[in-house]
Amino acid sequence: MFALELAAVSKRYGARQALRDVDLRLAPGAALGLLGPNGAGKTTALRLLLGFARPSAGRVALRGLSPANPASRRGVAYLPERLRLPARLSVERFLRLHGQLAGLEGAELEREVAGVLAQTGLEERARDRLGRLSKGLGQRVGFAQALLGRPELLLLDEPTSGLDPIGIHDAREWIAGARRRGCTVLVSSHVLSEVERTCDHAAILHEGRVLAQGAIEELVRPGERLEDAFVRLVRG
Amino acid sequence: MTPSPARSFRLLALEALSDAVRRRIVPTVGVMALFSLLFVDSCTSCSPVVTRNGEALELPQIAGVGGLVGMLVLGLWTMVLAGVLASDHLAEPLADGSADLLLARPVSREAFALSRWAGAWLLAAATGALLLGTTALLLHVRQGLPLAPAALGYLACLAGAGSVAALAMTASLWWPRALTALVVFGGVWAVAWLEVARQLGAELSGAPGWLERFGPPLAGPILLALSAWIEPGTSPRVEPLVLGLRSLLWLAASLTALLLAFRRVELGR
Repeated sequence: MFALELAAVSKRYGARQALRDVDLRLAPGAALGLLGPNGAGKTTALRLLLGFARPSAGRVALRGLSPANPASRRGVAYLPERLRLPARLSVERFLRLHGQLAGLEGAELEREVAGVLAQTGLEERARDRLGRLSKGLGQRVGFAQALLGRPELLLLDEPTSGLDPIGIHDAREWIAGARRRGCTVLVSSHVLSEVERTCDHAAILHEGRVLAQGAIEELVRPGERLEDAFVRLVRG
Repeated sequence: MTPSPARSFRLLALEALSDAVRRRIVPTVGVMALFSLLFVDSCTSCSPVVTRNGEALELPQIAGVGGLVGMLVLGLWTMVLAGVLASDHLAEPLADGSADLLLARPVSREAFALSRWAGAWLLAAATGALLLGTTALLLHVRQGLPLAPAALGYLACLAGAGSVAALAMTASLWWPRALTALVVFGGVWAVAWLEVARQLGAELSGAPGWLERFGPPLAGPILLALSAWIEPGTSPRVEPLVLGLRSLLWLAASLTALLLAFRRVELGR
């Protein structure tokens, strides 16, 4: 069973074709970078996987289940590109709510919340309201909620957006840490170095089509970096 | 491990209620409620002399009619409040994207939509309990009116508020908030006016007649519950069982419409 699968998926928003006949599969434990310029369809693919939208054609499955089934999102964590946090909640209360929705309870919940607060460097901001945090700290909170309960599948949409260089370094560490314990990761990004450092596979999307996908070392030619391969493929 | 659907719903509903309590409209509602209660306090403490056909009326007769009108107006305001709160309680977190993180958890869309409805409805229910409860208590202590009809009236108000909130929330998935709130405001008073007109003996035909006969019962059940406060011989023109059933049917249908509509909506295009 694939951790996630899009089979011949197309998605149309009115006159705009966001995805065209996309095939994408990710085996458990792998890390896939979904690369593409703005508007390539990366976020649409993630939203289809989470059941936020329905495909116009094709089949979408998350952990082998239809995204319409809430059980498909068991053990799945998501960090959206445009993270909106409820301003009035404290960091700790927000994390506790997400921990409970992820199925954590009692001492395990407290341990996990304390753990991700420490991991993301938010211990001293635990009682701060989310509305008072900077964009970078907000992104750390987003990561903290995604890491709660040791998810099996991480879906990250532009995960380092808004982070400073230290934050970007930390984020890579968090993703690497999740991978070391067997977590499957999908990173959607237009930052190629991001994908190069965190993923072993990549898929390049352009104008709603998958131009190429596979292990990163298979996508790049000898002497090329991922950036060169990306430009070569996108420019045809 | 995944929380049971009931636990997820409870967590989300508490969050939605807490969200509703922090809305900007709430202080305004609090001030209006305070003025309403001061007005009720002033009205229930007076002892007017009213004569009809040259005959002085007993205080309980006047208090019954006055109490019924007061409770009806406060009950209808509670329904308007439920609708106005619901008019963006689901639409806003969808529009600003804050719902995405919650819906990315193993939470059904039904549980999420119902929890948002429950948040708006519970706040309106608490406001209604304060307004109708205090009014009924003052009428009981000062004018000797029984409490049981008021309790029934409150339950009728809760059912109406539930239907109005669910319909407003469904409409808000497509309509802008201002339009939804305006339709709630006008709709509640229009339907109530038709129901009262019918109770007073007006013959309604066409669309108004159809709306009064088959539309959501808002004023009717409250009037029916409080009819014990007014003098005998003014019994309501509607069968209590039929009206009660229609009220519950509208509540169930409105909630079903909300769930079906929310299931179809695509999030965050």
